[in-house]
Amino acid sequence: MRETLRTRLGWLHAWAGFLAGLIATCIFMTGTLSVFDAEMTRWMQPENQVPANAPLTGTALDAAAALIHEQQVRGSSVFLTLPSPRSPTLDVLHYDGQKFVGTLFDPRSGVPITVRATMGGTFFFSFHYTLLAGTTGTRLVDILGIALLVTIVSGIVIHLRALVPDIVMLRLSTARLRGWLDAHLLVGVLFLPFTIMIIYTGTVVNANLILPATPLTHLFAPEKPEMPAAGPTVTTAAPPPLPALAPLLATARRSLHGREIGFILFSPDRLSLYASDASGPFLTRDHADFSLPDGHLLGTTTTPGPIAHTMQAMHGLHYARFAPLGLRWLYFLSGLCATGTIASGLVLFIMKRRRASGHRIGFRIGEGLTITTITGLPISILVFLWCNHLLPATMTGRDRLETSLFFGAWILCAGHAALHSTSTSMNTAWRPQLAMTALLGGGLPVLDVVVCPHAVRSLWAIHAGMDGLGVLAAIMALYARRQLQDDGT
Amino acid sequence: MNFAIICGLWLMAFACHVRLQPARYRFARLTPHGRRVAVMGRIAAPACALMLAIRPGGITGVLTWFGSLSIMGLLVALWLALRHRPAA
Repeated sequence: MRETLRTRLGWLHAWAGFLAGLIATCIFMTGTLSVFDAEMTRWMQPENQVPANAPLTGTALDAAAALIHEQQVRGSSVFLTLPSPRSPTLDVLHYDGQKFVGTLFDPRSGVPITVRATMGGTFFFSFHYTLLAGTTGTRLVDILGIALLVTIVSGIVIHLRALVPDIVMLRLSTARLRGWLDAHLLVGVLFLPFTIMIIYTGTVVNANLILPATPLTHLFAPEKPEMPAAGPTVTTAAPPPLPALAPLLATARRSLHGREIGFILFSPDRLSLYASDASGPFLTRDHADFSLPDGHLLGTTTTPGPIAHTMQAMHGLHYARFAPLGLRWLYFLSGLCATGTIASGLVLFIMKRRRASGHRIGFRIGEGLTITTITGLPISILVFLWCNHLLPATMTGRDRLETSLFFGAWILCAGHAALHSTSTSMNTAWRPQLAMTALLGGGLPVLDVVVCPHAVRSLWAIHAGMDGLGVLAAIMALYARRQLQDDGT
Repeated sequence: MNFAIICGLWLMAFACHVRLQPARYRFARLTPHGRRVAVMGRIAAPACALMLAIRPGGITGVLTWFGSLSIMGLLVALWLALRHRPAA
Protein backbone atom coordinates (compact mmCIF):
# COMPACT_ATOMS: atom_id res chain seq x y z
CA MET A 1 0.00 0.00 0.00
CA ARG A 2 1.29 3.41 -0.88
CA GLU A 3 2.30 5.47 2.12
CA THR A 4 0.40 8.52 0.85
CA LEU A 5 -2.91 6.65 1.11
CA ARG A 6 -2.16 5.62 4.68
CA THR A 7 -1.21 9.21 5.55
CA ARG A 8 -4.37 10.63 4.03
CA LEU A 9 -6.56 8.04 5.64
CA GLY A 10 -4.77 8.69 8.93
CA TRP A 11 -5.75 12.35 8.69
CA LEU A 12 -9.35 11.39 7.85
CA HIS A 13 -9.46 8.83 10.68
CA ALA A 14 -8.12 11.34 13.21
CA TRP A 15 -10.29 14.33 12.34
CA ALA A 16 -13.52 12.52 11.45
CA GLY A 17 -13.01 10.32 14.51
CA PHE A 18 -12.41 13.25 16.85
CA LEU A 19 -15.25 15.46 15.63
CA ALA A 20 -17.79 12.61 15.44
CA GLY A 21 -16.30 10.90 18.50
CA LEU A 22 -17.15 13.70 20.91
CA ILE A 23 -20.88 13.10 20.44
CA ALA A 24 -20.49 9.41 19.54
CA THR A 25 -19.02 8.71 22.99
CA CYS A 26 -22.23 10.09 24.54
CA ILE A 27 -24.39 8.10 22.09
CA PHE A 28 -22.48 4.87 22.82
CA MET A 29 -22.40 5.40 26.59
CA THR A 30 -26.16 6.02 26.81
CA GLY A 31 -26.84 3.26 24.28
CA THR A 32 -24.86 0.82 26.42
CA LEU A 33 -26.94 1.78 29.46
CA SER A 34 -30.12 1.37 27.37
CA VAL A 35 -29.39 -2.36 27.10
CA PHE A 36 -30.74 -2.50 30.66
CA ASP A 37 -33.28 0.34 30.37
CA ALA A 38 -36.18 -1.65 31.86
CA GLU A 39 -33.99 -2.81 34.76
CA MET A 40 -32.81 0.78 35.36
CA THR A 41 -36.42 1.96 35.48
CA ARG A 42 -37.13 -0.69 38.10
CA TRP A 43 -34.08 0.44 40.10
CA MET A 44 -35.32 4.03 39.85
CA GLN A 45 -38.84 3.10 40.97
CA PRO A 46 -38.20 1.14 44.19
CA GLU A 47 -41.92 1.26 45.05
CA ASN A 48 -42.53 -1.29 42.29
CA GLN A 49 -41.52 -4.60 43.88
CA VAL A 50 -43.47 -7.00 41.64
CA PRO A 51 -41.25 -10.06 41.09
CA ALA A 52 -40.30 -11.19 37.57
CA ASN A 53 -42.64 -13.80 36.05
CA ALA A 54 -45.55 -12.84 38.32
CA PRO A 55 -48.64 -14.55 36.80
CA LEU A 56 -51.14 -12.38 34.90
CA THR A 57 -54.70 -12.82 36.17
CA GLY A 58 -58.08 -12.00 34.67
CA THR A 59 -58.76 -9.67 37.64
CA ALA A 60 -55.76 -7.52 36.70
CA LEU A 61 -56.80 -7.45 33.03
CA ASP A 62 -60.34 -6.42 34.01
CA ALA A 63 -58.99 -3.63 36.24
CA ALA A 64 -56.80 -2.37 33.40
CA ALA A 65 -59.69 -2.63 30.90
CA ALA A 66 -61.94 -0.58 33.22
CA LEU A 67 -59.32 2.18 33.45
CA ILE A 68 -58.76 2.13 29.67
CA HIS A 69 -62.49 2.51 29.04
CA GLU A 70 -62.67 5.35 31.55
CA GLN A 71 -59.75 7.10 29.77
CA GLN A 72 -61.36 6.52 26.36
CA VAL A 73 -64.60 8.12 27.57
CA ARG A 74 -62.50 11.14 28.58
CA GLY A 75 -61.00 11.20 25.08
CA SER A 76 -57.42 10.07 25.86
CA SER A 77 -55.62 7.68 23.60
CA VAL A 78 -54.06 4.94 25.73
CA PHE A 79 -52.47 1.54 25.18
CA LEU A 80 -51.83 -1.48 27.37
CA THR A 81 -48.39 -3.05 27.87
CA LEU A 82 -48.50 -6.64 29.05
CA PRO A 83 -46.13 -8.03 31.69
CA SER A 84 -42.81 -9.54 30.62
CA PRO A 85 -39.93 -10.99 32.65
CA ARG A 86 -38.06 -7.65 32.37
CA SER A 87 -41.06 -5.45 33.16
CA PRO A 88 -43.54 -7.53 35.14
CA THR A 89 -46.29 -4.93 35.64
CA LEU A 90 -49.42 -4.38 33.56
CA ASP A 91 -49.14 -0.78 32.31
CA VAL A 92 -51.88 1.50 30.96
CA LEU A 93 -49.85 4.19 29.21
CA HIS A 94 -50.17 7.31 27.09
CA TYR A 95 -47.60 9.64 25.54
CA ASP A 96 -47.28 13.04 27.23
CA GLY A 97 -45.11 14.55 24.48
CA GLN A 98 -41.82 13.43 26.08
CA LYS A 99 -42.33 9.96 27.49
CA PHE A 100 -44.89 7.24 28.13
CA VAL A 101 -46.68 7.73 31.44
CA GLY A 102 -49.67 6.09 33.09
CA THR A 103 -50.80 3.61 35.69
CA LEU A 104 -48.98 0.42 36.65
CA PHE A 105 -51.03 -2.56 37.88
CA ASP A 106 -49.87 -5.55 39.89
CA PRO A 107 -50.49 -8.43 37.39
CA ARG A 108 -51.51 -10.79 40.21
CA SER A 109 -54.14 -8.66 41.97
CA GLY A 110 -54.91 -5.76 39.63
CA VAL A 111 -54.06 -3.26 42.38
CA PRO A 112 -52.58 0.00 41.01
CA ILE A 113 -48.97 0.61 42.12
CA THR A 114 -48.02 4.18 43.02
CA VAL A 115 -44.51 4.86 41.76
CA ARG A 116 -42.36 7.99 41.71
CA ALA A 117 -42.37 10.05 38.52
CA THR A 118 -39.11 9.50 36.65
CA MET A 119 -37.97 9.05 33.09
CA GLY A 120 -36.03 6.02 34.32
CA GLY A 121 -34.01 4.06 31.79
CA THR A 122 -36.08 5.65 29.01
CA PHE A 123 -34.05 8.82 29.54
CA PHE A 124 -30.85 7.11 28.34
CA PHE A 125 -32.70 5.42 25.49
CA SER A 126 -34.14 8.76 24.29
CA PHE A 127 -30.79 10.49 24.70
CA HIS A 128 -29.09 7.69 22.75
CA TYR A 129 -31.09 8.10 19.56
CA THR A 130 -32.44 11.67 19.69
CA LEU A 131 -29.90 13.53 21.87
CA LEU A 132 -33.16 14.83 23.41
CA ALA A 133 -33.61 17.00 20.31
CA GLY A 134 -36.43 15.16 18.53
CA THR A 135 -36.22 14.34 14.84
CA THR A 136 -33.33 16.76 14.30
CA GLY A 137 -31.35 14.89 16.93
CA THR A 138 -32.14 11.53 15.31
CA ARG A 139 -30.94 12.90 11.95
CA LEU A 140 -27.72 14.09 13.59
CA VAL A 141 -27.20 10.69 15.23
CA ASP A 142 -27.70 9.01 11.85
CA ILE A 143 -25.19 11.30 10.14
CA LEU A 144 -22.72 10.65 12.96
CA GLY A 145 -23.26 6.93 12.42
CA ILE A 146 -22.17 7.30 8.80
CA ALA A 147 -19.16 9.38 9.89
CA LEU A 148 -18.22 6.64 12.36
CA LEU A 149 -18.45 3.98 9.65
CA VAL A 150 -16.09 6.09 7.50
CA THR A 151 -13.75 6.40 10.49
CA ILE A 152 -13.81 2.65 11.07
CA VAL A 153 -13.12 1.79 7.42
CA SER A 154 -10.20 4.26 7.31
CA GLY A 155 -8.90 2.83 10.59
CA ILE A 156 -9.04 -0.72 9.19
CA VAL A 157 -7.10 0.32 6.07
CA ILE A 158 -4.43 2.08 8.16
CA HIS A 159 -4.03 -0.90 10.47
CA LEU A 160 -4.60 -3.61 7.82
CA ARG A 161 -1.10 -5.12 7.86
CA ALA A 162 -1.10 -5.71 11.64
CA LEU A 163 -4.85 -6.33 12.02
CA VAL A 164 -4.67 -10.10 12.55
CA PRO A 165 -1.10 -10.61 13.86
CA ASP A 166 -1.51 -7.89 16.55
CA ILE A 167 -5.06 -8.89 17.50
CA VAL A 168 -4.12 -9.53 21.16
CA MET A 169 -1.21 -7.06 21.41
CA LEU A 170 -1.15 -4.75 24.44
CA ARG A 171 2.10 -3.22 25.69
CA LEU A 172 1.53 -1.59 29.06
CA SER A 173 5.26 -1.30 29.72
CA THR A 174 6.12 0.91 26.73
CA ALA A 175 5.71 4.68 26.31
CA ARG A 176 2.36 6.08 27.39
CA LEU A 177 1.33 7.08 23.86
CA ARG A 178 2.18 3.57 22.58
CA GLY A 179 0.19 2.02 25.45
CA TRP A 180 -2.88 4.14 24.65
CA LEU A 181 -2.55 3.30 20.94
CA ASP A 182 -2.31 -0.43 21.75
CA ALA A 183 -5.39 -0.19 23.98
CA HIS A 184 -7.30 1.68 21.25
CA LEU A 185 -6.31 -0.89 18.61
CA LEU A 186 -6.87 -3.90 20.87
CA VAL A 187 -10.41 -2.97 21.89
CA GLY A 188 -11.19 -1.52 18.47
CA VAL A 189 -10.16 -4.68 16.58
CA LEU A 190 -11.54 -7.25 19.03
CA PHE A 191 -14.94 -5.56 19.20
CA LEU A 192 -14.95 -4.58 15.51
CA PRO A 193 -17.75 -7.04 14.52
CA PHE A 194 -20.03 -5.71 17.26
CA THR A 195 -19.14 -2.08 16.60
CA ILE A 196 -19.80 -2.33 12.86
CA MET A 197 -23.03 -4.26 13.43
CA ILE A 198 -24.40 -1.82 16.00
CA ILE A 199 -23.48 1.33 14.02
CA TYR A 200 -24.73 -0.08 10.73
CA THR A 201 -28.04 -1.34 12.12
CA GLY A 202 -28.48 1.87 14.13
CA THR A 203 -27.98 3.95 10.99
CA VAL A 204 -30.26 1.76 8.89
CA VAL A 205 -33.21 1.75 11.32
CA ASN A 206 -33.56 5.53 11.02
CA ALA A 207 -32.14 5.88 7.49
CA ASN A 208 -35.48 7.17 6.18
CA LEU A 209 -34.87 10.43 8.08
CA ILE A 210 -31.78 11.30 6.06
CA LEU A 211 -32.56 9.36 2.88
CA PRO A 212 -36.36 9.44 2.54
CA ALA A 213 -37.68 6.67 0.30
CA THR A 214 -39.53 9.15 -1.94
CA PRO A 215 -39.60 8.31 -5.65
CA LEU A 216 -37.84 10.90 -7.81
CA THR A 217 -41.08 11.57 -9.70
CA HIS A 218 -42.66 12.74 -6.44
CA LEU A 219 -39.68 14.95 -5.61
CA PHE A 220 -39.88 16.86 -8.89
CA ALA A 221 -43.68 16.88 -9.27
CA PRO A 222 -45.38 20.22 -8.50
CA GLU A 223 -46.96 20.21 -5.08
CA LYS A 224 -50.71 19.87 -5.01
CA PRO A 225 -52.69 22.10 -2.67
CA GLU A 226 -53.63 20.24 0.46
CA MET A 227 -57.27 19.17 0.63
CA PRO A 228 -59.03 19.38 3.95
CA ALA A 229 -59.48 16.00 5.54
CA ALA A 230 -62.88 14.63 4.66
CA GLY A 231 -63.05 11.80 7.20
CA PRO A 232 -64.74 12.00 10.56
CA THR A 233 -62.59 13.87 13.02
CA VAL A 234 -64.63 14.07 16.18
CA THR A 235 -66.87 11.32 17.40
CA THR A 236 -69.27 12.28 20.10
CA ALA A 237 -70.57 8.76 20.78
CA ALA A 238 -69.17 7.07 23.87
CA PRO A 239 -66.72 4.26 23.04
CA PRO A 240 -68.16 0.76 23.50
CA PRO A 241 -67.10 -1.19 26.61
CA LEU A 242 -64.15 -3.52 26.11
CA PRO A 243 -64.66 -7.29 25.97
CA ALA A 244 -62.84 -9.59 28.39
CA LEU A 245 -59.17 -9.45 27.37
CA ALA A 246 -57.98 -12.86 28.63
CA PRO A 247 -59.72 -14.95 25.90
CA LEU A 248 -58.55 -12.49 23.24
CA LEU A 249 -54.96 -12.94 24.41
CA ALA A 250 -55.23 -16.71 24.02
CA THR A 251 -56.74 -16.37 20.51
CA ALA A 252 -54.09 -13.83 19.47
CA ARG A 253 -51.28 -16.09 20.65
CA ARG A 254 -52.65 -18.93 18.51
CA SER A 255 -53.08 -16.60 15.51
CA LEU A 256 -49.51 -15.33 15.85
CA HIS A 257 -48.01 -18.84 15.89
CA GLY A 258 -47.55 -19.06 19.66
CA ARG A 259 -45.75 -15.75 20.06
CA GLU A 260 -46.36 -13.84 23.29
CA ILE A 261 -48.35 -10.61 23.13
CA GLY A 262 -46.42 -7.42 23.95
CA PHE A 263 -49.00 -4.64 23.90
CA ILE A 264 -52.57 -3.79 22.90
CA LEU A 265 -53.67 -0.70 20.96
CA PHE A 266 -57.25 0.52 21.16
CA SER A 267 -59.17 2.31 18.41
CA PRO A 268 -62.91 3.18 18.34
CA ASP A 269 -63.98 0.09 16.37
CA ARG A 270 -61.25 -2.45 17.10
CA LEU A 271 -58.38 -3.49 19.30
CA SER A 272 -55.04 -4.81 18.02
CA LEU A 273 -52.86 -7.25 19.92
CA TYR A 274 -49.19 -7.00 18.88
CA ALA A 275 -46.56 -9.72 19.12
CA SER A 276 -43.96 -9.08 21.79
CA ASP A 277 -40.59 -7.63 20.72
CA ALA A 278 -38.97 -10.30 22.88
CA SER A 279 -40.51 -13.15 20.90
CA GLY A 280 -37.66 -13.42 18.39
CA PRO A 281 -34.70 -11.73 16.71
CA PHE A 282 -36.96 -10.32 13.97
CA LEU A 283 -38.63 -7.25 15.47
CA THR A 284 -42.02 -7.23 13.77
CA ARG A 285 -45.24 -5.34 14.22
CA ASP A 286 -47.35 -8.43 13.47
CA HIS A 287 -50.73 -8.18 15.16
CA ALA A 288 -54.16 -9.72 15.52
CA ASP A 289 -57.22 -7.43 15.25
CA PHE A 290 -60.50 -7.92 17.12
CA SER A 291 -63.74 -6.05 16.53
CA LEU A 292 -65.46 -4.02 19.23
CA PRO A 293 -67.56 -4.53 21.24
CA ASP A 294 -68.02 -8.29 20.54
CA GLY A 295 -64.33 -9.22 20.35
CA HIS A 296 -64.45 -11.27 17.13
CA LEU A 297 -61.16 -11.98 15.41
CA LEU A 298 -60.96 -9.81 12.29
CA GLY A 299 -57.66 -11.23 11.10
CA THR A 300 -53.91 -11.07 11.54
CA THR A 301 -51.50 -8.66 9.88
CA THR A 302 -47.94 -9.74 9.10
CA THR A 303 -45.29 -8.13 6.91
CA PRO A 304 -43.87 -10.78 4.57
CA GLY A 305 -41.09 -10.39 2.02
CA PRO A 306 -37.29 -10.33 2.06
CA ILE A 307 -36.97 -6.54 2.42
CA ALA A 308 -39.36 -6.46 5.39
CA HIS A 309 -37.52 -9.40 6.96
CA THR A 310 -34.16 -7.68 6.48
CA MET A 311 -35.45 -4.53 8.18
CA GLN A 312 -36.97 -6.59 10.98
CA ALA A 313 -33.59 -8.28 11.50
CA MET A 314 -31.84 -4.86 11.54
CA HIS A 315 -34.27 -3.59 14.18
CA GLY A 316 -34.03 -6.81 16.17
CA LEU A 317 -30.23 -6.84 16.17
CA HIS A 318 -29.98 -3.21 17.21
CA TYR A 319 -32.64 -3.15 19.93
CA ALA A 320 -31.73 -6.66 21.22
CA ARG A 321 -35.13 -7.02 22.88
CA PHE A 322 -35.11 -10.73 22.05
CA ALA A 323 -31.78 -11.27 23.79
CA PRO A 324 -31.70 -13.47 26.89
CA LEU A 325 -29.86 -12.14 29.93
CA GLY A 326 -26.45 -13.61 28.98
CA LEU A 327 -26.53 -12.13 25.49
CA ARG A 328 -27.74 -8.84 26.95
CA TRP A 329 -24.61 -8.74 29.13
CA LEU A 330 -22.50 -9.43 26.02
CA TYR A 331 -24.18 -6.46 24.34
CA PHE A 332 -23.47 -4.36 27.43
CA LEU A 333 -19.78 -5.34 27.65
CA SER A 334 -19.34 -4.86 23.91
CA GLY A 335 -21.00 -1.44 24.13
CA LEU A 336 -18.75 -0.50 27.01
CA CYS A 337 -15.64 -1.53 25.05
CA ALA A 338 -16.86 0.27 21.90
CA THR A 339 -17.31 3.40 24.04
CA GLY A 340 -13.78 2.81 25.33
CA THR A 341 -12.45 2.60 21.76
CA ILE A 342 -13.93 5.98 20.84
CA ALA A 343 -12.89 7.57 24.15
CA SER A 344 -9.30 6.26 23.82
CA GLY A 345 -9.27 7.64 20.26
CA LEU A 346 -10.18 11.08 21.62
CA VAL A 347 -7.41 10.87 24.23
CA LEU A 348 -4.89 9.79 21.57
CA PHE A 349 -5.89 12.69 19.32
CA ILE A 350 -5.23 15.12 22.18
CA MET A 351 -1.98 13.43 23.30
CA LYS A 352 -0.49 13.47 19.81
CA ARG A 353 -1.11 17.19 19.38
CA ARG A 354 -0.23 18.43 22.86
CA ARG A 355 3.45 19.15 22.16
CA ALA A 356 2.92 21.00 18.87
CA SER A 357 -0.41 22.72 19.55
CA GLY A 358 -0.85 22.66 23.33
CA HIS A 359 -0.64 26.44 23.56
CA ARG A 360 -3.39 27.06 21.01
CA ILE A 361 -6.90 27.99 22.06
CA GLY A 362 -8.38 25.44 19.64
CA PHE A 363 -6.45 22.66 21.34
CA ARG A 364 -7.62 23.83 24.77
CA ILE A 365 -11.24 23.84 23.60
CA GLY A 366 -10.79 20.36 22.13
CA GLU A 367 -9.32 19.02 25.36
CA GLY A 368 -12.02 20.71 27.43
CA LEU A 369 -14.70 19.07 25.28
CA THR A 370 -12.93 15.70 25.56
CA ILE A 371 -12.91 15.94 29.37
CA THR A 372 -16.54 17.07 29.38
CA THR A 373 -17.44 14.00 27.32
CA ILE A 374 -15.29 11.31 28.93
CA THR A 375 -15.59 12.25 32.61
CA GLY A 376 -18.39 14.82 32.59
CA LEU A 377 -21.03 12.48 31.17
CA PRO A 378 -20.46 9.66 33.71
CA ILE A 379 -20.66 12.27 36.50
CA SER A 380 -23.98 13.58 35.11
CA ILE A 381 -25.35 10.04 34.80
CA LEU A 382 -24.42 9.30 38.40
CA VAL A 383 -25.91 12.64 39.53
CA PHE A 384 -29.12 11.63 37.71
CA LEU A 385 -29.20 8.33 39.64
CA TRP A 386 -28.39 10.01 42.98
CA CYS A 387 -31.12 12.63 42.43
CA ASN A 388 -33.61 9.86 41.66
CA HIS A 389 -33.05 8.38 45.11
CA LEU A 390 -32.68 11.66 47.01
CA LEU A 391 -35.55 13.76 45.66
CA PRO A 392 -38.84 13.17 47.55
CA ALA A 393 -40.90 10.44 45.83
CA THR A 394 -44.12 12.49 45.85
CA MET A 395 -42.54 15.75 44.67
CA THR A 396 -44.34 17.45 41.77
CA GLY A 397 -42.27 17.70 38.60
CA ARG A 398 -39.47 15.52 40.01
CA ASP A 399 -38.89 13.83 36.63
CA ARG A 400 -38.18 17.21 35.01
CA LEU A 401 -35.96 18.18 37.93
CA GLU A 402 -33.94 14.95 37.55
CA THR A 403 -33.31 15.78 33.90
CA SER A 404 -32.44 19.39 34.72
CA LEU A 405 -29.95 18.29 37.37
CA PHE A 406 -28.37 15.87 34.88
CA PHE A 407 -27.73 18.74 32.47
CA GLY A 408 -26.76 21.07 35.33
CA ALA A 409 -24.04 18.67 36.45
CA TRP A 410 -22.81 18.27 32.88
CA ILE A 411 -22.63 22.05 32.37
CA LEU A 412 -20.68 22.37 35.64
CA CYS A 413 -18.20 19.73 34.41
CA ALA A 414 -17.83 21.62 31.13
CA GLY A 415 -17.26 24.87 33.05
CA HIS A 416 -14.69 23.19 35.28
CA ALA A 417 -12.79 21.80 32.27
CA ALA A 418 -12.92 25.20 30.55
CA LEU A 419 -11.65 27.01 33.66
CA HIS A 420 -8.62 24.76 33.79
CA SER A 421 -7.90 25.11 30.10
CA THR A 422 -5.50 27.96 30.77
CA SER A 423 -3.14 25.94 32.93
CA THR A 424 -0.16 24.11 31.45
CA SER A 425 -1.32 20.63 32.41
CA MET A 426 -4.86 19.41 31.91
CA ASN A 427 -4.44 16.85 34.69
CA THR A 428 -5.81 19.53 36.98
CA ALA A 429 -9.14 19.14 35.14
CA TRP A 430 -9.07 15.35 34.65
CA ARG A 431 -8.20 14.42 38.23
CA PRO A 432 -10.98 16.19 40.19
CA GLN A 433 -13.59 14.94 37.73
CA LEU A 434 -12.27 11.38 37.99
CA ALA A 435 -12.34 11.69 41.79
CA MET A 436 -15.95 12.90 41.60
CA THR A 437 -16.88 9.91 39.38
CA ALA A 438 -15.26 7.56 41.91
CA LEU A 439 -17.07 9.23 44.81
CA LEU A 440 -20.51 9.16 43.18
CA GLY A 441 -20.07 5.64 41.74
CA GLY A 442 -18.62 4.15 44.93
CA GLY A 443 -21.34 5.80 47.03
CA LEU A 444 -24.20 4.47 44.89
CA PRO A 445 -24.57 1.09 46.70
CA VAL A 446 -24.48 2.84 50.09
CA LEU A 447 -27.16 5.30 48.98
CA ASP A 448 -29.29 2.47 47.58
CA VAL A 449 -29.13 0.41 50.77
CA VAL A 450 -29.83 3.44 53.00
CA VAL A 451 -32.68 4.94 50.95
CA CYS A 452 -34.56 1.83 49.79
CA PRO A 453 -33.58 -1.23 51.83
CA HIS A 454 -36.85 -3.07 51.08
CA ALA A 455 -36.33 -2.89 47.32
CA VAL A 456 -32.70 -4.02 47.71
CA ARG A 457 -33.91 -7.10 49.58
CA SER A 458 -36.82 -7.98 47.31
CA LEU A 459 -35.13 -7.24 43.95
CA TRP A 460 -31.52 -7.92 44.94
CA ALA A 461 -30.33 -8.97 41.45
CA ILE A 462 -31.38 -5.70 39.80
CA HIS A 463 -30.01 -3.60 42.66
CA ALA A 464 -26.75 -5.58 42.82
CA GLY A 465 -26.29 -5.12 39.07
CA MET A 466 -26.93 -1.37 39.13
CA ASP A 467 -24.89 -0.74 42.27
CA GLY A 468 -22.14 -2.95 40.86
CA LEU A 469 -21.98 -0.75 37.77
CA GLY A 470 -21.53 2.27 40.06
CA VAL A 471 -18.63 0.50 41.79
CA LEU A 472 -17.14 -0.49 38.41
CA ALA A 473 -17.25 3.18 37.31
CA ALA A 474 -15.55 4.14 40.57
CA ILE A 475 -12.77 1.55 40.13
CA MET A 476 -12.12 2.60 36.53
CA ALA A 477 -12.03 6.28 37.52
CA LEU A 478 -9.63 5.60 40.39
CA TYR A 479 -7.35 3.53 38.14
CA ALA A 480 -7.27 6.30 35.52
CA ARG A 481 -6.62 8.91 38.22
CA ARG A 482 -3.71 6.87 39.56
CA GLN A 483 -2.23 6.54 36.08
CA LEU A 484 -2.39 10.32 35.67
CA GLN A 485 -0.65 10.72 39.01
CA ASP A 486 2.13 8.35 37.92
CA ASP A 487 2.40 10.26 34.66
CA GLY A 488 3.34 13.35 36.62
CA THR A 489 2.42 15.79 33.84
CA MET B 1 -22.11 -24.57 29.87
CA ASN B 2 -22.26 -24.08 26.12
CA PHE B 3 -20.87 -20.54 26.49
CA ALA B 4 -18.01 -21.79 28.68
CA ILE B 5 -17.00 -24.34 26.02
CA ILE B 6 -17.18 -21.68 23.29
CA CYS B 7 -14.96 -19.42 25.41
CA GLY B 8 -12.55 -22.31 25.98
CA LEU B 9 -12.32 -22.94 22.24
CA TRP B 10 -11.58 -19.27 21.60
CA LEU B 11 -8.94 -19.36 24.30
CA MET B 12 -7.36 -22.30 22.49
CA ALA B 13 -7.50 -20.42 19.17
CA PHE B 14 -5.82 -17.34 20.65
CA ALA B 15 -3.19 -19.47 22.37
CA CYS B 16 -2.35 -21.08 19.00
CA HIS B 17 -2.29 -17.63 17.35
CA VAL B 18 0.10 -16.26 19.95
CA ARG B 19 2.45 -19.27 19.59
CA LEU B 20 2.45 -18.76 15.81
CA GLN B 21 3.81 -15.20 16.31
CA PRO B 22 6.78 -15.90 18.63
CA ALA B 23 8.65 -12.67 17.87
CA ARG B 24 5.70 -10.37 18.44
CA TYR B 25 4.55 -11.97 21.67
CA ARG B 26 8.00 -12.98 22.96
CA PHE B 27 7.61 -16.74 23.04
CA ALA B 28 10.02 -19.51 22.08
CA ARG B 29 9.88 -20.72 18.45
CA LEU B 30 7.77 -23.80 17.77
CA THR B 31 9.07 -26.95 16.12
CA PRO B 32 7.70 -27.64 12.60
CA HIS B 33 5.32 -30.23 14.10
CA GLY B 34 4.17 -27.83 16.84
CA ARG B 35 3.62 -25.17 14.20
CA ARG B 36 1.39 -27.50 12.18
CA VAL B 37 -0.65 -28.31 15.29
CA ALA B 38 -0.99 -24.60 16.15
CA VAL B 39 -2.16 -23.74 12.62
CA MET B 40 -4.75 -26.51 12.81
CA GLY B 41 -5.87 -25.38 16.26
CA ARG B 42 -6.23 -21.79 15.11
CA ILE B 43 -8.58 -22.89 12.32
CA ALA B 44 -10.43 -25.76 14.00
CA ALA B 45 -11.17 -24.18 17.41
CA PRO B 46 -13.19 -21.18 16.09
CA ALA B 47 -14.99 -23.46 13.60
CA CYS B 48 -16.01 -25.84 16.41
CA ALA B 49 -17.04 -22.85 18.55
CA LEU B 50 -19.22 -21.53 15.71
CA MET B 51 -20.92 -24.89 15.22
CA LEU B 52 -21.57 -25.13 18.94
CA ALA B 53 -22.84 -21.54 19.13
CA ILE B 54 -25.33 -21.69 16.27
CA ARG B 55 -26.85 -25.01 17.35
CA PRO B 56 -29.55 -23.44 19.61
CA GLY B 57 -30.29 -20.52 17.24
CA GLY B 58 -28.63 -18.88 14.24
CA ILE B 59 -28.67 -15.16 15.06
CA THR B 60 -28.18 -15.58 18.81
CA GLY B 61 -25.40 -18.08 18.06
CA VAL B 62 -23.49 -15.77 15.75
CA LEU B 63 -23.79 -12.90 18.25
CA THR B 64 -22.55 -15.17 21.05
CA TRP B 65 -19.66 -16.39 18.88
CA PHE B 66 -18.47 -12.86 18.12
CA GLY B 67 -19.06 -11.73 21.71
CA SER B 68 -17.00 -14.58 23.14
CA LEU B 69 -14.24 -13.88 20.57
CA SER B 70 -14.00 -10.28 21.81
CA ILE B 71 -14.04 -11.08 25.50
CA MET B 72 -11.58 -13.96 25.33
CA GLY B 73 -9.28 -11.91 23.10
CA LEU B 74 -9.34 -9.13 25.65
CA LEU B 75 -8.55 -11.52 28.51
CA VAL B 76 -5.65 -13.12 26.58
CA ALA B 77 -4.27 -9.65 25.72
CA LEU B 78 -4.45 -8.56 29.38
CA TRP B 79 -2.74 -11.75 30.50
CA LEU B 80 0.04 -11.27 27.93
CA ALA B 81 0.46 -7.60 28.90
CA LEU B 82 0.76 -8.42 32.61
CA ARG B 83 3.13 -11.29 31.82
CA HIS B 84 5.55 -8.96 30.06
CA ARG B 85 5.16 -6.08 32.50
CA PRO B 86 8.43 -5.39 34.34
CA ALA B 87 8.28 -5.65 38.12
CA ALA B 88 7.88 -2.24 39.80
